[in-house]
Amino acid sequence: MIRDIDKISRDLEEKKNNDIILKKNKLEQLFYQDPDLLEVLGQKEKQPLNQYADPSNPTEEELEERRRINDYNERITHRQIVPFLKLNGLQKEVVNFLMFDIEDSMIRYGTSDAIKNQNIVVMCLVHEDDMDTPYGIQRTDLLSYIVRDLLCWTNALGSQLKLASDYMEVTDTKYYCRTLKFSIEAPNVVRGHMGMNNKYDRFQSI
Amino acid sequence: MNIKQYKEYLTLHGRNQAEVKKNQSDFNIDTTFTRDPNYKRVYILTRDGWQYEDAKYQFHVANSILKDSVDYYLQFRPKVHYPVGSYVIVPDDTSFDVNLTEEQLENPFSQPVSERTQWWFIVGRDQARSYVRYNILKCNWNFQWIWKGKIMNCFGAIRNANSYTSGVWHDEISESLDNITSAWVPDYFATYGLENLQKLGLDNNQTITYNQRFMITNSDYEPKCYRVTKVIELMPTGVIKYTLKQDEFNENRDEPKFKLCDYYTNEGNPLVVTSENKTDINPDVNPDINPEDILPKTSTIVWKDVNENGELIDNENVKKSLTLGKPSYFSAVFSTGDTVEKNIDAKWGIKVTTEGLSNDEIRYYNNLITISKFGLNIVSLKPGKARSLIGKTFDLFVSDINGDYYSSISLEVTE
Repeated sequence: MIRDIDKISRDLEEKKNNDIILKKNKLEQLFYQDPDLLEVLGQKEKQPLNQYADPSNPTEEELEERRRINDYNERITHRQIVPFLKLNGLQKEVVNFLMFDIEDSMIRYGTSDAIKNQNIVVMCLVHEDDMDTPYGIQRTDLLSYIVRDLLCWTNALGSQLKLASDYMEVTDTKYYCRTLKFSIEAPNVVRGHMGMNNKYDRFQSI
Repeated sequence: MNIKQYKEYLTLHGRNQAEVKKNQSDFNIDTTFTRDPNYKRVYILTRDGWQYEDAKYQFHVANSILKDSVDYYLQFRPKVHYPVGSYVIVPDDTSFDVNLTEEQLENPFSQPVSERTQWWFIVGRDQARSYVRYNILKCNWNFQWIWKGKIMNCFGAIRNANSYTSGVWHDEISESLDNITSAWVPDYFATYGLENLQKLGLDNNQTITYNQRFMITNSDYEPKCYRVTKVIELMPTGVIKYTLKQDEFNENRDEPKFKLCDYYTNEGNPLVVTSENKTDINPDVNPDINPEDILPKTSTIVWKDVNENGELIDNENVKKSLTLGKPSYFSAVFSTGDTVEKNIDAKWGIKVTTEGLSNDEIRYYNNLITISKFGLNIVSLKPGKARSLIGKTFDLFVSDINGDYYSSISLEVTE
């Protein structure tokens, strides 16, 4: 195998280069579009801005109030849907997260290696101080229900997603977590190059 | 993990050993609260109305026939506090529940005075230990008086005032009764706020002033009357203590049947305003207070809207109903007379008003509305995304910290 390094030209913007990139991107869109998910994640409401009595000439108090509101809004803004399985440092504030990632596991079907198993892991992390919802249901359970509702038995990522396991665990010192694992069968391909992920290594004929 | 995160990790449970231990003790006391045999589910009157509260009822000092009746301790869950002067109904040894019927739970003041054997009020706050305990004193007398043609009453406690006199005082020309006793009552004004009194079914007991006469007796044959000679209001705030000197029973003016002094005018007409005797109101009763001198304190709740720049504005056309999962904004405007008060810190509250709900449902629906306060007098209400909320009605109310201002509006939740 000889690579002509000088001539490598990749399209770094193209999400379809790798099915994991593509699928994670789809999942993120799916989660963000759900109207209930952010609500159940307990996203804090941004404070509306104060109105200036004279917009062209705001008073010192009005400016101070505006600064306070902007500070507050910035402080409560957190990215709560995270496409990797890592807690963002130690959180002192009460913030809940939905984290997910995808792994390829078994490459199957004899010698052709054409089909693989993919696992999608979604973790619902909830701060221990925020476990209760007003609906009388634990927040982790409600989140896991919504994720299941969005994914299980659907074709959101191509072939049908199956829930493989759903279990609870304690993470960090302050967080409780519910983890859902979905499995999916997918062709072991990238952009039509059957069986080969790297076009520069395409020395084996199909 | 960097050094900053490690420091934060170390201080997660408190910044020092004392804080860690206090937090752990709070947790332990709270989790084991109902395991204590002294635990009782008491019924307490707050500014928002009567509600159940968890408490431990504890011994303080030994009762003795040689001295006055004693106080007991009441300890609430960690960090739960109620003002001195609050009424609290504590179940006794006969039952785990308070002796109120279903209807009386709505308004415990409808319980006949003779059956009010479990009524106490908070008279002090003992903070000797890390966990505050409140001193409670048993109520044993319903004080009644007439103010501006209306019978007022206040449930409080008669206290023993040490008295070593013979009971009569005489000089060369006259002889009079000479005995003193004292009375403690909750200061409704300080504890519940003037604006809440009507809502809570309380009469303003700051109208009891010097020379107010009370009939304190169980005897119809020889009623004993007393006159207020001393008023102590601020030791502590929330309790008013009166010294009462015995006064002659005036059979022309006093009415033993109702245990009311000065029930009649000197002409023999009742002072109490009824539809028949409306013209007989004696203008001399409490001439000191002229209602016209007091500027009216008003408050209003205004619906707000958010414009395209994200600014909060007044908008007449804003949709006047709460929407599932969406915040609605309100501001409170307090004014005294025509002047708008800008620096009053608003206290907000919400309660479901749909009829026919059980207590559990009421609690559930009240919790489903999230109240977030922004600044001094702006609030947002956000109903949770529970479909059963649709069509439920709520009252949003606002007051200031003293209860001088009060107003409420009715809201409905829509989809």
